[in-house]
Amino acid sequence: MKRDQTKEKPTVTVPQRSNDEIVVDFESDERDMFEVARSVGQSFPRTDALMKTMGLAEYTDDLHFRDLAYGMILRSPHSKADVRLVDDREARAVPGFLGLLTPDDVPDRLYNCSGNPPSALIIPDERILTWHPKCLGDRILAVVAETPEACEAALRALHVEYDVQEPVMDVRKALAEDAPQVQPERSENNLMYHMHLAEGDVEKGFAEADHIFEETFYTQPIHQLYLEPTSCVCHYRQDGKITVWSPSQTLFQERRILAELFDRSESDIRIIKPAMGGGFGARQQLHNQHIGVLLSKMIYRPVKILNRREEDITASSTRHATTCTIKIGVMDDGSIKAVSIRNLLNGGPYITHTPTVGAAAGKKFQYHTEHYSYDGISVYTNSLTAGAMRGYGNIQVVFGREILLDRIARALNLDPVETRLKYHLQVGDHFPAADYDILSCGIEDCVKKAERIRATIDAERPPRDDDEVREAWGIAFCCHSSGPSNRDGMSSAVVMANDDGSVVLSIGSADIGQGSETVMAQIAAETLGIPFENVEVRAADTAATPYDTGTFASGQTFVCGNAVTIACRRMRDNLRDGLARFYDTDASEITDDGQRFAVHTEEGIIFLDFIEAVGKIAFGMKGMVVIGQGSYKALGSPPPFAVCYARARYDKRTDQVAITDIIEVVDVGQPINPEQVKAQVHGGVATGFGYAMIEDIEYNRRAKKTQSVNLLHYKAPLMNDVPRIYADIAEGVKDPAGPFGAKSVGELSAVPVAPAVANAVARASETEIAAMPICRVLPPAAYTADRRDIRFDDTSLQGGAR
Amino acid sequence: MIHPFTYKKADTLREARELATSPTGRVLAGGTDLVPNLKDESLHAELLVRIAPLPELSGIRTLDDGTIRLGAMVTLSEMDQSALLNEQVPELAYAAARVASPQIRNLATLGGNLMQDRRCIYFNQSHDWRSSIERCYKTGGAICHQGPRSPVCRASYYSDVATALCVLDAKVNVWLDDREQTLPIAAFCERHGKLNGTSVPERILIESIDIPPREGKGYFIKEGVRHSIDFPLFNAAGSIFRKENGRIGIRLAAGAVTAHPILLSDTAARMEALINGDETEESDTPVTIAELAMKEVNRAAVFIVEDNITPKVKRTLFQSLGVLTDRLLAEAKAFV
Repeated sequence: MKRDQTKEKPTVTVPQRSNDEIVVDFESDERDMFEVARSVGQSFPRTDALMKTMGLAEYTDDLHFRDLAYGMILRSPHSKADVRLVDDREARAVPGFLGLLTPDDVPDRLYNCSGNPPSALIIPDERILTWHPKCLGDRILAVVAETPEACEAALRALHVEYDVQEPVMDVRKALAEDAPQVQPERSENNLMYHMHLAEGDVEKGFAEADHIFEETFYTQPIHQLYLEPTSCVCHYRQDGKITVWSPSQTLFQERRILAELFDRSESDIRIIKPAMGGGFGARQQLHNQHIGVLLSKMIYRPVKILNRREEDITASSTRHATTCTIKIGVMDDGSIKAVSIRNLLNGGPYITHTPTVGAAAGKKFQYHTEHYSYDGISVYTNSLTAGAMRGYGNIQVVFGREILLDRIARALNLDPVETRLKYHLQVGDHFPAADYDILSCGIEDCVKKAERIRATIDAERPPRDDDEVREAWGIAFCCHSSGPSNRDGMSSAVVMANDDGSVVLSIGSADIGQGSETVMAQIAAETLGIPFENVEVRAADTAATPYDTGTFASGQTFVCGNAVTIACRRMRDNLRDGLARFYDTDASEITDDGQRFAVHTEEGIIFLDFIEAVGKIAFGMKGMVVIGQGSYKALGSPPPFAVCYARARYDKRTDQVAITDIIEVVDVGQPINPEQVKAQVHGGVATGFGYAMIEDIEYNRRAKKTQSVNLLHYKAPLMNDVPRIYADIAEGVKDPAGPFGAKSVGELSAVPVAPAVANAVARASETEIAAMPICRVLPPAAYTADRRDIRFDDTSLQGGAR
Repeated sequence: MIHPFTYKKADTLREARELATSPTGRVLAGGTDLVPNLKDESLHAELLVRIAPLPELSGIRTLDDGTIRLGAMVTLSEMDQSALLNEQVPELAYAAARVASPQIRNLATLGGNLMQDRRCIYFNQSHDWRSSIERCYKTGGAICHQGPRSPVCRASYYSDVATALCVLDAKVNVWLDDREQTLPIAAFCERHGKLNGTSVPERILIESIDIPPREGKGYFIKEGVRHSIDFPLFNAAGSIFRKENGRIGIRLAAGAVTAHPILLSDTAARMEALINGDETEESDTPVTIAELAMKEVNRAAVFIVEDNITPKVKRTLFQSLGVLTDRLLAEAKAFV
């Protein structure tokens, strides 16, 4: 990524600049010449880019340990069963076998693996190991051995008997009166949680509406499909201290869960996050760390557990499948009178995140309506356990909502973009059923920019409508949150200066591959008034970095960014106090414009930038150690907004559909690193495109479990399958609550893609879409831009040409 | 975990023939199909026979009579990039180009592609996944999960290359029953399809594939969930050529619908009749060539549970045959 040269501050050489103090006149304009290059708004390459590109970054599986042993888990091959261990003698005789854990050997204690902070919604209902597996991949037994091969051989040598039972997979069947109970200890009727939100009186609103539109939408379960497999190394030392290395989004929560499970003090447990290959929500929970700790305790050696992809797909968490009924009452002019949303979520057998996922969409209806109701009803089933995933409950509801709004626009002959804009919430408004106001909104600029891109594309390749092909655009709007929408977000930072003016920024926030460490370095550099290169970030180690709620809800830039800003401002305050001591003056005699300190003396003003100020006082005789610390508790969760346009190509001869172009423009407030924002949009579009068109965790009726357990059967788009992507950012928006006006982008970018794709497909093929993946209704046109293909033409080119 | 096996490298053709057709021998060529199955333990090998790059099994060359001979060990990348194939038999070069990914094509061989295992969502699974269901015909059991009442395996054969070879009337030179034999591609595929639906070893070594000279053109189409890497959901090839007697000939084949590619002979015959003027398109006949081809595929197709699509969508994909037959008919006008 090349830095935009035009935006970069010119390097200024000041002839008289030396180690001597520069004394200038009060009124001099030359003061601006000392301003350092700004960091916020610049597209710096990521701080980890070089090491990752060279293959030198160390992920959990790359770490070396003396005496490392390996752990492996026996997972249920059935969706529901009772298990009996008949004989383990052969397993114990496997060369290299070190130990076996059964459900009887682990603390008999319920927990919730979710990495959300404790709340009434995080209900414990899961055990470390179980004799009664409730879904495919559920944990039954674990072994520890000298090698992974010995683990596998030992597991294979266990004589285990399954009493297989009929699973209940479907939410509606699970709610039927005679349905078998999935979690008898927790729920008699398989109802997990019911969240109801309302404003106004929807029945009254529907009675007053000119038209009523209603549809039930189905969204399928999909997997996060991070590249790095889930792994952990756990070391239980003889002195009772525990260290865990693992890809974790929420290490402080995982520490709390482990402490509770094992009756330990949190200070006995240290969690370290090495380089991480993605999370997308799946690492916002405890996975195998508890088993790793218990296996390690048997031998007091570090134990590594590395999931196979099959274990990752079946036994981490999936996106919730939903059956969502949306009813919208509108007037002739398209204004919305009333909305009711009834969202049934398939949670699988354990609660994990489900109640909060079910609530997440409730307060994100971004159009004016007088009457509104939302019901998020989550249900226990024996499907794979569902949990957090990019888009967290919002993406499913936006899918149906934006499709239904498109149908309304078509039925009433209204422009789908104009109508959405006309009735869109603005600054000062609040979301229905929410108690906070919108403080910034750049939706209009999103539309303007998207329209401009669309016009360019259409000028180059006018949409076809002939005997063979019809092409059409579909659009969708969305919003999301910056940090948890319940304002759970909290973070902290410590920044320490070295005597050369460089700093070390210590944060608990976990960079999971999205680049947050780079962004935090930019925020710190900007706040301290130092070059970006002078900030070194140390992050995500519970024993060495300060608390952070966790990397989720797209909250890092907003929540941790605010904490970093506070810590850096405090550092400058401390520095001013130090300067006062150095110059034997009062701190009130020193002003700080964020770039330079001005020490008012009788001879005039002494100006010092950060490096000079630190040079004066750090570690010296009259000096001090300059540290700044700050913590931030989110008071809100500013919504970012996005507009997505997708262009579909329908082949009239074969009924095949292809998506050729996707435009997405996001309002993220002030982008801290614009290229990273655009990279997030690219990733989000790929996530949303795969979701819309092909991805699915499919249930197999004969095997009574999912068949999509590996990358052969679970099909996600590769780079070459993704359409052309046009990413852009709304300009001139600054959220008052965000650091430098920033909001979030990570999840936002994935949310509007599927409905935009569905609306494009519906308009091009004249087939109404109410379920995903679309390949179940219309076959994808998966041919290449190879000239040897008889259907090749320039417009059929998908993202990656040969 | 892969079961222990004996590994032998064949340094001469004689050795290769002997080992490959021994009762327990299994040929390891590119390994891109076999090794994943060994890892999943859906297949076991007692004796893995690594074929060294033998001259008899390598290279693409033209014989004196114009026949194109491809060694069994020619990689799919070589086929994709071969100027000769792209000029003479583009449907074959393109079929090879559409298999899997560049990395796989660099290893995968023509012989291996033809010998690939028939695939099924119950068979191509890990040992753990399969541990909850009975063994099927292909894994030594007595049931087909795709059709529990079926007396035979219903897995599909997903070779893209084989479909293209069918319309080229290719011949497969093999070592079988202790002698050199030449099998027409269709017969070869039928034999492979039948035996590969069981756990009976095939005891065959493909040595080369011959493509007779053709004055004509050919096309290949492939449908899949993704264009980047997938096995086909459906594929088809069509060839138009001049016969010895001067008439125009058509060959049409479809794949990924049953245990072997199927030749759409009725449709091809009807097209030939139309092209050569034996009959004219009757305006009162509502059945178009495309519809005829689809019906022919539908008759032969065995619909099984596949990833991501329904039988209805699979049938929809057969419509792309119309694109192929239209192109062949258009080509014929220029040809006559």
